[in-house]
Amino acid sequence: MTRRRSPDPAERSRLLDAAAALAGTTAWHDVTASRIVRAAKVAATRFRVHFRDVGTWLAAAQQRFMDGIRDRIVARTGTLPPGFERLRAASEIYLDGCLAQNELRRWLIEARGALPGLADGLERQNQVYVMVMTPEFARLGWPHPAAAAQLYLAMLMEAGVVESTAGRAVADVRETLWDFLRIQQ
Amino acid sequence: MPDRSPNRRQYLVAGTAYASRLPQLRVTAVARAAGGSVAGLNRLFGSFSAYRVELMFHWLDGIRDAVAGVLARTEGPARLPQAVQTWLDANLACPAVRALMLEQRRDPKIAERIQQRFRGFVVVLQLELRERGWVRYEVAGRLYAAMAIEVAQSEFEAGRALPSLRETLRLALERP
Repeated sequence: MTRRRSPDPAERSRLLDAAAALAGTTAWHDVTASRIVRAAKVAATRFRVHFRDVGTWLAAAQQRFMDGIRDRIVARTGTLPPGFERLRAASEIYLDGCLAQNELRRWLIEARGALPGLADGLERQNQVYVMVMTPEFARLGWPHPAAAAQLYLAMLMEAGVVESTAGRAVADVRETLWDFLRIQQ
Repeated sequence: MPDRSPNRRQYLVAGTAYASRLPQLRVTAVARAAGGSVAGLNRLFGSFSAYRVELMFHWLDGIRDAVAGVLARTEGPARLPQAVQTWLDANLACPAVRALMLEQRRDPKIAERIQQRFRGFVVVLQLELRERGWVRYEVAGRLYAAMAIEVAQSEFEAGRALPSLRETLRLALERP
């Protein structure tokens, strides 16, 4: 009698690592479970142990990408005082994190139009960011801090798109963000 | 005997008026509102789907013209905030057409045409910010347009104007 192996976290991680590799070579809609297991060097039968389909694999890859940025933000800004410096540091980590995985991020943005699950995951993350940033904007003196946090996040995401197209950090983009943060100071 | 059946523009104007009152477009109701018929609408546009695409661009043209009108008749510091408020009001006025736009932009060709309209809005913002002496007006125009779009989307989802978002956007645009 053969026993079905339980999910192995390292194997799952290798399957998700394949997203970055495939993003540089393949259109997202051409990705199949076979291509993923080949890129991850994992047995073909193992894909469905971890993921229902390519859509859930993409959603997991997006979640890991977002979690990575969030973890770096928490690690590096936790000791900073609330307000301008903390928001600026967090924003730089976000933008640098997007640039570091530029191809994967572009891929995920393209896929979001067709896969509502991806857009939902991003929407949930954005809601959390707005909630976390609201007290920071209150500290900066904005009369409607939640609204300021929401609009700043919209700017930050657009800044990510501009830098993604440029393929590098763009000083004017970042200074425009810091100008917004300074408006009420 | 003169042909009294509505022309393309009359169907589009009727559709816009209808969409400002009701959340969903129905071909029979639109045709009736224009004083025409479903067959007449299909003859002019090819199909109701094609009509819906034309209606969306007619609506976007109307928004552009409303903003241009404000810019043409307003001077001074109120000019840009008023133009943006007009843009937001116009976006909010026709939820059925905005919903249509969100649906239609899944088609890459239509998405590109919609993007062209938004790029026009970005250019208007950039020119106004340059006029105000903003140093980084090109980037700021693009990022501030993203904020305005965020307000419009939130208001569409809420089904009403959201004063805290509008006030925040106004404060950002009026910064010294």
